[in-house]
Amino acid sequence: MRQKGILFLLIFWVFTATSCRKYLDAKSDKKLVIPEKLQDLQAMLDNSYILNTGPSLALTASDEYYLDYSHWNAISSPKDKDSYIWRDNVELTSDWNNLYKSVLYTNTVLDYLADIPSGSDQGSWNKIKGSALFFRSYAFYGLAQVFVPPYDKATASSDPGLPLRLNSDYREKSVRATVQQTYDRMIADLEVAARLLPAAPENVLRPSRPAAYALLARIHLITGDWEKGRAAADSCLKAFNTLLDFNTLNTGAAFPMGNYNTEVIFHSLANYSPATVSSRARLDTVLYESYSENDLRRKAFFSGTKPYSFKGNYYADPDYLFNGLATDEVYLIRAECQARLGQTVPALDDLNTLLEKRWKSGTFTPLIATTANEALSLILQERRKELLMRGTRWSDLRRLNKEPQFAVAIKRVLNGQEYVLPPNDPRYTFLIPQGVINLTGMPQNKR
Amino acid sequence: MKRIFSVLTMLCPFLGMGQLIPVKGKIINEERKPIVGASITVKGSRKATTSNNKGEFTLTELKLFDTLVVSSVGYEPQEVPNNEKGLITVILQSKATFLQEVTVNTGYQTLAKDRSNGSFELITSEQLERRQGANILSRLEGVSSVLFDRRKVGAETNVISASELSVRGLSTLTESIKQPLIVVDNFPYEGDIGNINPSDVESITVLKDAAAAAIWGARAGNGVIVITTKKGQYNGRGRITLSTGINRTARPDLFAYPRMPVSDFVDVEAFLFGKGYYNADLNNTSTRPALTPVVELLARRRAGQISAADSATAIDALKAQDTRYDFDRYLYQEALAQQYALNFSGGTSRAQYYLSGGLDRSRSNLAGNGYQRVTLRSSNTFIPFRNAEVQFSVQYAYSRSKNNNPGGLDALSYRSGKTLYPYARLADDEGNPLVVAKDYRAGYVDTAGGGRLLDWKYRPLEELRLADNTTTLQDITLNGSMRYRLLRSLHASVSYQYERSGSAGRIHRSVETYYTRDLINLFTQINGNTVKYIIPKGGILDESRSELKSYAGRAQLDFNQALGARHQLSALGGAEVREGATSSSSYRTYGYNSELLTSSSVDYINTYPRYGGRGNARISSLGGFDEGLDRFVSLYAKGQYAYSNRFIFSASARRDASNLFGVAHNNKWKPLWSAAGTWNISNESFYRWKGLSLLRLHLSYGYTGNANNNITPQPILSYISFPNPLGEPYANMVSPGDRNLGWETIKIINTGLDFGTKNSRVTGSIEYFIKKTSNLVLGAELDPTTGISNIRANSAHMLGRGIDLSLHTVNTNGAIRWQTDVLFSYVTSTVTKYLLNDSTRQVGGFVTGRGLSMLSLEGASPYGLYSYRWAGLDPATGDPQGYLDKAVSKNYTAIMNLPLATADLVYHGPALPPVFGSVINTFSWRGFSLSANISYKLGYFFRKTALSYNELMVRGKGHPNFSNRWQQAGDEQRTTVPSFIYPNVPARDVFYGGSEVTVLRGDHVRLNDVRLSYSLDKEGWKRLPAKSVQFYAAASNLGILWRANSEKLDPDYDSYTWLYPPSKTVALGLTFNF
Repeated sequence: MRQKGILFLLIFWVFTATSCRKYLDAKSDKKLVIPEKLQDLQAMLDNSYILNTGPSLALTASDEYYLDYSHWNAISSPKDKDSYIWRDNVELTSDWNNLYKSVLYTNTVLDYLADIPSGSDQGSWNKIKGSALFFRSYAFYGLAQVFVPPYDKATASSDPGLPLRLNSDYREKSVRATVQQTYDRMIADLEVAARLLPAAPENVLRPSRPAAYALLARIHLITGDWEKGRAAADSCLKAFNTLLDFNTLNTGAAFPMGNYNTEVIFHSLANYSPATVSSRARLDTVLYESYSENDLRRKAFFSGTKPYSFKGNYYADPDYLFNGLATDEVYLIRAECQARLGQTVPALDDLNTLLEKRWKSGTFTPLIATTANEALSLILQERRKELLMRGTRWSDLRRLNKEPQFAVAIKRVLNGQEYVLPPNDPRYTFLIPQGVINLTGMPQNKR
Repeated sequence: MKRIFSVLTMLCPFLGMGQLIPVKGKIINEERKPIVGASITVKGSRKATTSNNKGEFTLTELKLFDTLVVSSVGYEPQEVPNNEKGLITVILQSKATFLQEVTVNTGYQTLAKDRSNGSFELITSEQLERRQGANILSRLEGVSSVLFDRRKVGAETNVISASELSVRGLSTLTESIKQPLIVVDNFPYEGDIGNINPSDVESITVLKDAAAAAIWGARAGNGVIVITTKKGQYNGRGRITLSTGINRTARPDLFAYPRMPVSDFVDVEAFLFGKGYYNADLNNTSTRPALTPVVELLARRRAGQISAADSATAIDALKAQDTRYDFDRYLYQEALAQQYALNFSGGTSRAQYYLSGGLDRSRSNLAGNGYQRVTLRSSNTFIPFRNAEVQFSVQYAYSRSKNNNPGGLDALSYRSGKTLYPYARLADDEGNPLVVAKDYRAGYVDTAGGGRLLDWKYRPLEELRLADNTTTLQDITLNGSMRYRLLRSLHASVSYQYERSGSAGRIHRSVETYYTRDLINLFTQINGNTVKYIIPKGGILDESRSELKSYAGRAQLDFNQALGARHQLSALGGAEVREGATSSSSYRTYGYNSELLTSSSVDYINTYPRYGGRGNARISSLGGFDEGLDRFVSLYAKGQYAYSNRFIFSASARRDASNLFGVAHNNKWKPLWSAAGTWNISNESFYRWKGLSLLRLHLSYGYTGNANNNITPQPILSYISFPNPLGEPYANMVSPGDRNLGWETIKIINTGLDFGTKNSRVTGSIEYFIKKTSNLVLGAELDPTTGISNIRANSAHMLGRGIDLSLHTVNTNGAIRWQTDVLFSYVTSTVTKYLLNDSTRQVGGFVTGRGLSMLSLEGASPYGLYSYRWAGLDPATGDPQGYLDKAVSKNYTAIMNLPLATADLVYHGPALPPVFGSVINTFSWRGFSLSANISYKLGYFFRKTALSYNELMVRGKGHPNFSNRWQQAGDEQRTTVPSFIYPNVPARDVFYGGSEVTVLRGDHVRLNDVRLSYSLDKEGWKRLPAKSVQFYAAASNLGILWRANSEKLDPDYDSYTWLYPPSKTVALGLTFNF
């Protein structure tokens, strides 16, 4: 009796007193991880649905397309309708929220990367750090094009820029930096990223050295730093200069460019906008006519019948538009910077190198210009035609409006009513979502 | 009385005073069943006997007018004068429920209810039998104080899950952890509650206060429901029970609720067509989205393809159709459920056994859907040697459900999310399936591919015929325990439970189904005469499996010692380990041939252009894997001291630890405790009030918790099953890390009074409780610039208060016995403090919740109903108007975005009833028993679904109020429904739908069910093949007797999710006891 009792108590003790620390350290869900390993940080950066995205507003609000009144009316979200006609109180939360989510991902990666010794796998460590810096700059770049006033050297140090969130601590208050600080931060980060990133893209969803230089070139173009812009474009093209020969394309296909074509340096898609989907957005006949008969882009970019819709998307999809980085744009940036620097001949060389791939074989005669200014006009004209619906037009309007000879007032017509956005109008900068203003007290953009 | 008779006998010697006569009699209970072993004594003499197994007794040599005293355990003793008839029938009344040796099960111990401390609600098998249905939880409705919230469950869903139940209001603001803990016998039940056959259930105990529930610790915050299964009995006679039942639920009445007239719907389409609303779709030559027949007719008319007269005739014909006739005829049916259960039980002096089997088959109201379940259960206990008891049970359940219905009314959709137009015909007059719009335009599917594609049309009734969608579930639970008496007053026990259940889902879509044809067509490449199928021409088979393996082990010591005559000390303590491991996987097979069991391989890597310029896409593999593991370690103890049957004191404590992910080890342990006392006032010597023979007061205080799996201090990533577009695995950030989160704690104070009158004519209990919940975790708005727009934070404190009353009265006690059971609950939950800055919270977030999501506003119920203040319709335009900065305004967006501090927000009250309960009246006469359950819910509000022009235009969802809309000046006097404008302003619909005119009072009284039963035993009818037979007929969902809203809406089944009132159900059943 007593022995049995002791045995029982012994079993009881074994049951209760065994250390349970190890037992309780088992993971409750195998898919869940705390970002502790390089592999996990890379997996965050491979979330292309969050990181490889850009703002929709830059496309919705630009003048490359138009909507029929009935198509416009059929859009159910009033904010998207208002964005199309630049209504002055329109505020769209999706671009702000989505792009700052990218910023959170990159900051989390950077914060946790700091705790991982780089020695173990220097190559991956560098790549992750470079990628995170690139993705953060890419998000800041997208945000700056729609929520920050156009860059103006004279006022950039006082104009309100982006809240530059540089770590993942959400308790830190968001405060707007200046426009100058915003661009300086992107440039500094991209310069570091360019050193750390692999020399060629492993795949176009991942950043690479040419991608960092391409984005740097874009930014220098916006800040008007032609020398650096040229240098960055040059560095990019030295590493990656493939151009797609349109003669090899099946221009009759629904989306002749396909996915991830050879020109793409870094793939990114604009956030969804119901205005720019190919079933609604229409392209102007005048624009169509501006392409020569022998220019293959006529067939590759425009749907067969009037009213034309856009099919030149670098991503074979009717709804989501490519707005990433590709070599054609870098050629155009280098050409423009050279023209601005008075280097007419190399500028035209770059332009002609690109256009030759766009025209029917044997039909292209190189463009000529006698002055740098003439070359610049040609380059800007071709820039508009080449980068159709790529999200760059909005930034171009913002910067070129500062130069009177290139300034344009853009117009919308709906049901006979005309809406005009004059050059340098405050509405070229969208309002920051009111919720953000309420929660942080940061200054709102001018109206 | 006796004295008078004695006097009479003395005065009347000729009456035969002193003559000795024999007396025969029979002792039966209220149900006319014999009472075996009742004692019969003669008052004032030593003569006594007991009743035999037929309840009969004989006493010889009795004097006329002697008084017999009849008593039996569990019954009220009764005095009967001996009269001259010679055969006496004595009906003994059972003692009131709590006066009997009623036991409640906490999962850790079984307690006599009147010797326990704490708030236990016992629901007996008899009460559970009031309702039919294969799910045990559903039987708690109307017979317990558990509140059912069915608002979020769709009309076709009859499955009850624990998350729809609430015990004493809310204890958390996190939706995913608000359900009570369900315990079966000893251990929390991890499997599907549908595996439990209700006929195996002996009783259910609801643990309501801290004293009752705190022993369950961190998972007891929302109350605990303990299901106790049937067992055999030592020395019990062998019994066999066979029961059968059949339930018929009428075909749903699709015409019960008003709908927008079809002609109005067609007129709206014609109007929108005129405005060019459909132009984008009509001109869309890439995806060619489907349009309704009316729009197609109008388009052909506009293109000059048909004449005005022809289109008008065709449209008029469509106006005359109503899709509800076809839905009623082809997609709905009368639901039928059959239940069979057979069980054996009994025992010897050293063993007890219980063995049962059950079969349930049912078909649902939706044609093509059905359910089948087989359950087997065996539970045995035996005494292997002195001082030891071993128990072992096995439970097996297999179920199979078919889910082949393509969709009921409003669920059958086209173009992902548009409701099928109200004039759709599903079959022609001969019953042949007809084509309805699905994804692409009618003209397009006729000609696309020039005959080289598969048929691209969608016929819902064909889909019903072809569908092959089944889910099977198997569950086996083994439970064993051993109890050993170490010392006279000390028992040790170990128990162990192992459960393994697996479910397998299978959806086979043959090549004839629309889904498969569509996918094949989209990936077909036609080049001249060559047709290339990227997806093989064959069926698509989706299979999924999930498995749950759980075990639980417990070691416990029980101590029970009487110290002298007055002191009783008992204690228990133990440790417990539990683990639940889940795994699941899913995969897809293309080109599946169900005849030959062959399949084909496809290219998952490359993208292919989709037919007709729809962009490039990759073939979806639909493969995925999941694995989860939950582990808990707990230590618990409970002590009780009773003094002289008058006072009981008890205390309990528990600590839990788990492997919650991302939680630092130190924070995993959470101590919780409770203390309670009971005073049996009626056992005091000074207590003299005979009228109220029972009076007992109890008080308890303690803490329970809510284990919130979502709290993690570190950021957490979750890997996604499918790679990113370029084949790399990627992860989402599922939690940014809640660095400062603390646990939710729940403090419960409970006080109660049990009472009973002499003869138990009136018995009952009343309880009052206070529940203070602190540091409730709730999503809080965060500056989206941080990358997170919503974060969980300890954001509120809440106070719950309430009264539970239960009353049982015996109104008449003669040949006709009339009893009434009253349940009354009053429960309020109020947010007392909001801990974060609420000045920036926007009012829109409060209103859109519709009272269905938990919100926290100081002074309001978490399920509160809020509205925008209504300023009437604009007399000039019929626009709805609200208030912005005290002025009448039509700036809807600004009104919705107002911060809480400056808004004019109307708080109506709770959206769940604070007052509810039921009244059950039972009349019995001989073997007949008739009862009716009337339930009531009072003091709450609901929001009716308002007309939304946006829903009408974008989703094709009509609303009956359309014909009542504002159309001309002056209409604002008679209606609150806004005018129809084009282009529509969606914010206007949202404002109107959230305004105070769409809120109604929910109060109502409902006739839940009526039940008639008849029981017959062998004594009553000698030729009965069984010992006794019980027959019942019951009807439920009998409708509302009274409601506060004048619009005839059913607040429990608002048409927001319910398209028709719950159909009346009639059940018939027969039970044989052998």
